[in-house]
Amino acid sequence: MSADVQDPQTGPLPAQRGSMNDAGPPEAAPTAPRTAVGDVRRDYLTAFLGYLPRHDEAALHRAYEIGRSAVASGVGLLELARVHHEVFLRVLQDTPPEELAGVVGAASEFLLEVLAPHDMAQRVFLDKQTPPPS
Amino acid sequence: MHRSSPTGYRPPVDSGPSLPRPRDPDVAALLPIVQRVVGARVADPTTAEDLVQETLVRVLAAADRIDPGMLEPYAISTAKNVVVTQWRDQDRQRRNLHRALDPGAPELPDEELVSREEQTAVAEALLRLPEEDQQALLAHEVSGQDTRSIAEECGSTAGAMAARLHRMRARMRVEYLLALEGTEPPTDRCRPVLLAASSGDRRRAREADVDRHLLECSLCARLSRPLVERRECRGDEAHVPIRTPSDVVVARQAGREVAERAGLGCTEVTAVVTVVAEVTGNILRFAGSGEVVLELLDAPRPGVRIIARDTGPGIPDVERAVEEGYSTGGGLGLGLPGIRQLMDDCTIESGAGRGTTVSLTKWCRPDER
Repeated sequence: MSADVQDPQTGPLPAQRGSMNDAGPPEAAPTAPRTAVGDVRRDYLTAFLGYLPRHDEAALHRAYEIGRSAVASGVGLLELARVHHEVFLRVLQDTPPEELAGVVGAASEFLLEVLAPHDMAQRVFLDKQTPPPS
Repeated sequence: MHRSSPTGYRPPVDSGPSLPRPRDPDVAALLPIVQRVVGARVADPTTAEDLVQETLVRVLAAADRIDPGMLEPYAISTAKNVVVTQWRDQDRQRRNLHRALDPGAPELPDEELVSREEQTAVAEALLRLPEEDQQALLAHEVSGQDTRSIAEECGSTAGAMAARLHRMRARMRVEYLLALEGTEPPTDRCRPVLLAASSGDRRRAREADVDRHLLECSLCARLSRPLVERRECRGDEAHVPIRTPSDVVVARQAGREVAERAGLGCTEVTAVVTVVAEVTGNILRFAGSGEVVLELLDAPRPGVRIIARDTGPGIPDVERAVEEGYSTGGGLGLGLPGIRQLMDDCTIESGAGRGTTVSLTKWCRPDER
């Protein structure tokens, strides 16, 4: 998780904890090389935090673009699932109980958009594997 | 509005020599209590100041008749009465405010001229119709004659006459716009396209390729705006011009709304929105600008149609473009094959230099509604 990522509404996010530090190499460190997964994780957090307060279409489009660039840069479904889980956990830690249902719903809508390009790629792949009708 | 002195009390203007007053009440001593009484009831300091002065003037005027010991209670009662009177006046003004409203807007200087131009255009448009159509249209629209009796006079049926009147009105709208503009269409295609747009018949509009012509012909694009807006008023169709990346978001939103109205499930809505994002992205990437039309379908079953249209360089080899992994724009090469997989029907019309029209349909599954 990038240390310089800030919540546009509330300022800097709390430092990473527990499993999030174990999740992978420290892409956030200033000297660490950038990786495709690190970029996805950073963009995912920023876009999801942007989606939470407004639930607007522009943020969902950013989610779709994240999924598209993940397909283009070879970030797989498993890695996307892990990034989603990390970001979701992190947001949940700061969520008051009365807002939990809204955040869970928003996370689901956001994840669908991120996964849509992978879904499209999979359908194309499966179509290619299916022999044409004789 | 009164202006107050530093003490808040303004003595009456001395208009010349006056008779000696029997006694001068100590008004300055009454000031704090009057200010307190008024201030407790009136929030606005300026209004409160006015009411304090009004109270003091009344107390002064009545001072001769009041026992000096009763001056303060008198001032308090007067202050309360003055405040109540002011509230009552405000309430009366509020209740009668509507009487002061003049609902008629003043006529602007150019309104008469515009009105005359419109009347001339209507008359000219009417004259451009065949004589028989003119009579039928005037009888129905102006004289209020019913369709059945007009049909009997013409030896037709009521249904046929209604359809004919519908076509006449469509033509009348087109001729009116042309007469108002004072122009003739530049190409042979323009008038049939405008007529199709005016009729609001989707099948006819598709056959005339209305939307493509409107992208190519600036005069028809301008003239047809009220005709297209009229069509969109039905609420089952949205046209989104695509010129900038922010238009992609507008198109996505329109696609989501139409898909939800069609009753598609959550993942199917996402599929439709994904397709809208892909086709609008392609328009921006390859053609620079274009248009996306979202249609809500109700037959043979509910569904959504997406039509993405541009006048860009076109796709020289459509078959190759829909093969997996082929891309000329540095994209994933998944766009066209991908959207084909997400939708139920897909038609691509294109060719080098002819622009591209992609038409996609998603039908509701029976268990989705």
